[in-house]
Amino acid sequence: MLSVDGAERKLGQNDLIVSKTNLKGHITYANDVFLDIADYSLKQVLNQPHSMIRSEAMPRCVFQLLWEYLQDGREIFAYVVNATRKNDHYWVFAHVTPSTDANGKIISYHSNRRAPSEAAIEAVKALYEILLAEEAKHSNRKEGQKAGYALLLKILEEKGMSYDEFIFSL
Amino acid sequence: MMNLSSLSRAMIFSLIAALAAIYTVWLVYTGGPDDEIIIAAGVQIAAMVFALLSLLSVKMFLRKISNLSDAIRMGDFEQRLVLPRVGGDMKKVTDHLNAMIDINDAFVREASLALTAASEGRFYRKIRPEGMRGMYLHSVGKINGAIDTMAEAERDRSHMIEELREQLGSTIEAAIAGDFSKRVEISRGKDEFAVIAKQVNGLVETVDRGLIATGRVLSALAQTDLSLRVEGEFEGAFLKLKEDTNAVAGNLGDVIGQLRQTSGTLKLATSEILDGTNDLSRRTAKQASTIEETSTTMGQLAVTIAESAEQAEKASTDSLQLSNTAEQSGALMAKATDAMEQIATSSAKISNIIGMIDNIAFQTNLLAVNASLEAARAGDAGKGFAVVATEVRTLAQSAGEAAKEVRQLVDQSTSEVEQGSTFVGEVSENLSNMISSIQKNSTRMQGLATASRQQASSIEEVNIAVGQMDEMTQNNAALVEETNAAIEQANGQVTDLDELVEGFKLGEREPANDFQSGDDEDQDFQHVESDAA
Repeated sequence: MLSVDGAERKLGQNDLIVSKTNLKGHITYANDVFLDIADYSLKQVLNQPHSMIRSEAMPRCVFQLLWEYLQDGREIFAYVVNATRKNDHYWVFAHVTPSTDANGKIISYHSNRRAPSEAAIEAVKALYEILLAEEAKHSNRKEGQKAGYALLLKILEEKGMSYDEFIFSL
Repeated sequence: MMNLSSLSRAMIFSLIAALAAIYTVWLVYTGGPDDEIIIAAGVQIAAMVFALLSLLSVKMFLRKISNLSDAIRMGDFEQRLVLPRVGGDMKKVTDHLNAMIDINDAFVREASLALTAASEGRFYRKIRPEGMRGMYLHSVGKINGAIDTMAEAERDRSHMIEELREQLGSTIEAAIAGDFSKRVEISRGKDEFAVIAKQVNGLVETVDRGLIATGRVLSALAQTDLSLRVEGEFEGAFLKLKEDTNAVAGNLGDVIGQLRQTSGTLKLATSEILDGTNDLSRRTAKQASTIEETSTTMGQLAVTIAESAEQAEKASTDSLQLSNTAEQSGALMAKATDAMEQIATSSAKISNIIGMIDNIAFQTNLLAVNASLEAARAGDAGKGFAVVATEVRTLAQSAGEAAKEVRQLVDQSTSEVEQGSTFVGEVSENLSNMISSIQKNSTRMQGLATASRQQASSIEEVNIAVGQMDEMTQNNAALVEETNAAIEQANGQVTDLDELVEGFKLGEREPANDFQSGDDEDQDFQHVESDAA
């Protein structure tokens, strides 16, 4: 089973974590729910890379997919486990979208995170375990990410589903 | 102090300022020490300054809220209050304002993206209801319901298509695969299906009937039976197909008929040609051998003529030499004639002189006689004189005698010279005749030699021509051989063609009018016939 550091914190059923980043992925806004659960002050997160709350239990290839979607101007849903300041963790169902100006040019990224269902977390944990194991086979981080990405695409192909369909099926 | 808002701070500093003011008033009233009064007044002033600063901060906060509200009103959900140093009630206000914008932002994003996905057929991507409450949740429910309705409509559509495919599929697929015998069952299903099914059956029926009727004729055609025609009522493309098929069968029948006739004529013609070429072949062979003989003869003739030319050349040269010699003789003769004439001239002169001598001798004799007579009359005295006179007379007589002899000799010589001169003249004349004959002869010889040479070169050319003729005849022979083979092959093929054409079964009808109506075609056929004839 996927092992995640620290104690698990739960997001309330009606809670909505909201954050915004600039095009470089640096945080420009974080709502109070974000700061509460991650145990940071606004001052501590502003202008920091969003990856500051990244957990080691997240496969890198999932973020690669996420950035590819965003740079393509598409929305993406992802089950993500994040780390708090004290290295506890919490699961979210993230919905990341690019924000565009009136001309359709991407000006920032927006992330809404909601409480995921337990069943979805269990399914995703199983997938992430496989992807992490694949990534760990390679001493080079980039190679590992590449291999994990390829494996993810292969798994989706075997399921005969797009990534989006797969996520919404959970 | 850290977690308090600027507003709370303003209130606290105002309270401190008020308390400091009361204390200051009390000290002044009770006559307290001056230094205490000054401290209290200082505290009062400081608290008032802080309270003012805090109020300024609150004012700025309110302006930010005002600006933010305006942005949200304009639909700019990117804006938030990002105030890391705000605390207390103002932080609460900030968080609630941000939360309000967040939920609007989330709702608008979700609604927009979910509807976009639905319009692209991705009905699974609905609005996530988590975090939505109240009217937001209500609206999410409505929108998701609409997406479900769309999805259902799409499913219904797919289902309808599936049903259509199920009912019509096997018939249409069979038709696509070329089997027009299957029909759609009209027993069950909705009314609109029954209408479509009937129409599909009608379509397949029409195609089936058209293909069967046409197929029967075409397969008979394939079996070389040209007697069948497409029968029955057809419309549109099938009517055209019927007409075209019948036209093909009719025209093919006409062509085969014509072909049959032509092939008979052709067969006859090729066998005649074959006879002709065989004859030609024999004659060519004969011609070749004749030409070869001619060639040999011509060679011999060339040698003979070359020799003859050489001889004529030689004869011509000899004639020329002879002519030269005769000319030299002629010149000599002329000289001899001159000499004779000089002799004659000299003889005449001599004759004259002798005449004078003879005359002198006669006169002398006469004088001597007269002298003797005188001497006789003179007697003795004249006796000596008489002797001399006698002597003189004897001498004169001798001289006369001698002159006579000389005259005779001279006359004889003159006559001989004259005779010789005549001879020489005749000889000279003969010689010049001979020279002229020789010269003519020589010219003729030269002409002969030239002619012979020309003849030789002509013979040479003739020889070359004969050689070429020989070659051509050989080529001709080869060609005739090939032609023969080709014609034999053609003859065989014509026989095959004849058999093939005989294999067709023709209808008993008049040749199709369309076929005859084309003027060009008609003319072409006439050409073929006239060529064959």
